[in-house]
Amino acid sequence: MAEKGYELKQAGPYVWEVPPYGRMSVPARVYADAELIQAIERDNALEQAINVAVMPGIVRASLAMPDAHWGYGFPIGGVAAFDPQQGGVISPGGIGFDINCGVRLVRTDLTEEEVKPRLTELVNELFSQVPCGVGSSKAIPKLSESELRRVCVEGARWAVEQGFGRDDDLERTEARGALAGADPDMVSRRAMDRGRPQMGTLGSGNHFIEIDVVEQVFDREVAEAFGVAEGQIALQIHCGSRGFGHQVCTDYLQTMQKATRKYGIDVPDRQLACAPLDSSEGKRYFAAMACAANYAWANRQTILALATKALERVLGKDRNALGMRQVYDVCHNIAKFEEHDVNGEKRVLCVHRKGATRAFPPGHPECPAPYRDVGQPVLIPGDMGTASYLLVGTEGAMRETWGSTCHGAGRVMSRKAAIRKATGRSIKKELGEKGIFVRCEGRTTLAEEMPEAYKSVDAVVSVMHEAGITRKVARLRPMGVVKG
Amino acid sequence: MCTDRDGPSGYEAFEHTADVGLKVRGRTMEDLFEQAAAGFIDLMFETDSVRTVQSLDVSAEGDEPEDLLVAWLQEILFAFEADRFVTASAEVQSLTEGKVTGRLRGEDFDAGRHEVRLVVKAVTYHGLEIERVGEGYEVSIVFDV
Repeated sequence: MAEKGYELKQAGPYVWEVPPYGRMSVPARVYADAELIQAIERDNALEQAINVAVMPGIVRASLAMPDAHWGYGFPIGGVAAFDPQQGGVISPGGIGFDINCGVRLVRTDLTEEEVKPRLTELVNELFSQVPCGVGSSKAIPKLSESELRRVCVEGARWAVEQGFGRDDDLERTEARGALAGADPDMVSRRAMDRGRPQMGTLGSGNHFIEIDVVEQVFDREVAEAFGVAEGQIALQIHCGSRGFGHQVCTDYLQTMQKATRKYGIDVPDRQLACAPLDSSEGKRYFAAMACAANYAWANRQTILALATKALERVLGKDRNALGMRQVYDVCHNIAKFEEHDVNGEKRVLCVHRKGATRAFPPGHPECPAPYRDVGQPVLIPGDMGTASYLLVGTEGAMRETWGSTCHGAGRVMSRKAAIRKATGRSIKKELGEKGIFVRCEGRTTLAEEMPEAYKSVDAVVSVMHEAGITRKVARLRPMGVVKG
Repeated sequence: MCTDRDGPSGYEAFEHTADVGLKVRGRTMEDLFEQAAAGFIDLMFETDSVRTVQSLDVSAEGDEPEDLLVAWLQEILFAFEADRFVTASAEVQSLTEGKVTGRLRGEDFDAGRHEVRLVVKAVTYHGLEIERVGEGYEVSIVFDV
């Protein structure tokens, strides 16, 4: 499958489509402008979206967001919904290894002027409070197995009950920080062993903690509802389910290799291995994936508490006095059962989002009460030298993308190419000249994560804005960055 | 990167937008597994600083050779993440249909002495096909980082 020879047509100002051919049962549809579509095509992401269109029970289209890039199995930036009534499947490769990798944004009453003189100290304190690198975990003692089982089911609530954060953080978290249907009995001993020492750790690669300043507000009314205004300092956390989630995915990829053969499913890539949603393999994977999703929410909740401690210590005020309140926490690697409209009929579908963010409109029951009138906040982390965005979900997303949008800038350069490009340069110094102070654990992380390795986050969010899927609310500029 | 002069045996890293890949050649299936492990170790650790003073016996199962290869490489990753064991070399002791056993040599992780080059999340199945090439075997493996 996916040999060259597909036809790519422009289907709207910001939508491109490959009509079904060969074994595709639905089209592959990509949100992009004229420039981004070229990057997506060059990068194999389009072929990967075409491969997804072959999978059993896929509804309407295999979707790719403008930040889509070459992943493994599904493209990163891919969205696909499967109908359990039509032989639809669930695929670990459609979610990714870092189950519930996601972003949390916290607003404060602090201003840029207040933080600037203490920035170095603040970043250093965040770096020491939140372990990031190689599985280390000074902050939180290794969890007992019974505690980890609670994490699997309770998610972020477990962390709040340990004293990490507050109840109102949960209200402003996707799924209130706990996905239903989690069953720790479906998680392997290996995943448990990898998960126990890693609670409260950031991990490496593109994960980070950032101190940002709200540079520009595009939609004052919605920004106000989210508690965000120009000139404010915000804290952003990007990480996931660590080795626990990686192992859950690994274990079930193996289960799915068998299941794919057992159910006679023919997929174009082993990483797309899957099982029918109503099969025992499919149900077991969902129950284990939910445990990993809940681990990630507990992890971000715990990290928020550690980061809060760092801010309190350096600035000498407590969380309330700093005006710290969570705006939202969203995941961008997950599968969920959601009700959607299919040709005028309400259907429960399993929506896979791999490097894509949920973006529900105003009035949706899953939109948290304080935001019900304006829509769900969507958090889009950019590269460390440019910007991140706060967006809001719309009805357009419900109609076209199963309530989903992009998840970040999206890589455009391989890690090796980035290292080559950074040779002889000091990325830390270059960022410093832009007023961004960075602390980093890994030796090559800064080069690998350099801004040029990514697409323009401005272009990515603009496509989704112009396409009427998500609207821009605010742009955040990084000031201080902690990288794993 | 590292190729055996005597024949098609060795590995080299290839580029992938978000992740990292290895192209591996082996004269036999056992050799392919060992070369893949050597390449994987080379991606993850600065091995010069790792002494081979301890060993860890591992075994893995899988239906097809590709499943088995992924499971074998995962042993090295798991040894590091769960047991804090840094592998410097990996030897295949037996490779039969459905099962591989082997020995990892290295030592316990010491953050002061050992350097982790690349934190790998997982071994993927992406595009994974072991192919017969001439007298030997060849495979490309993508790692999620």
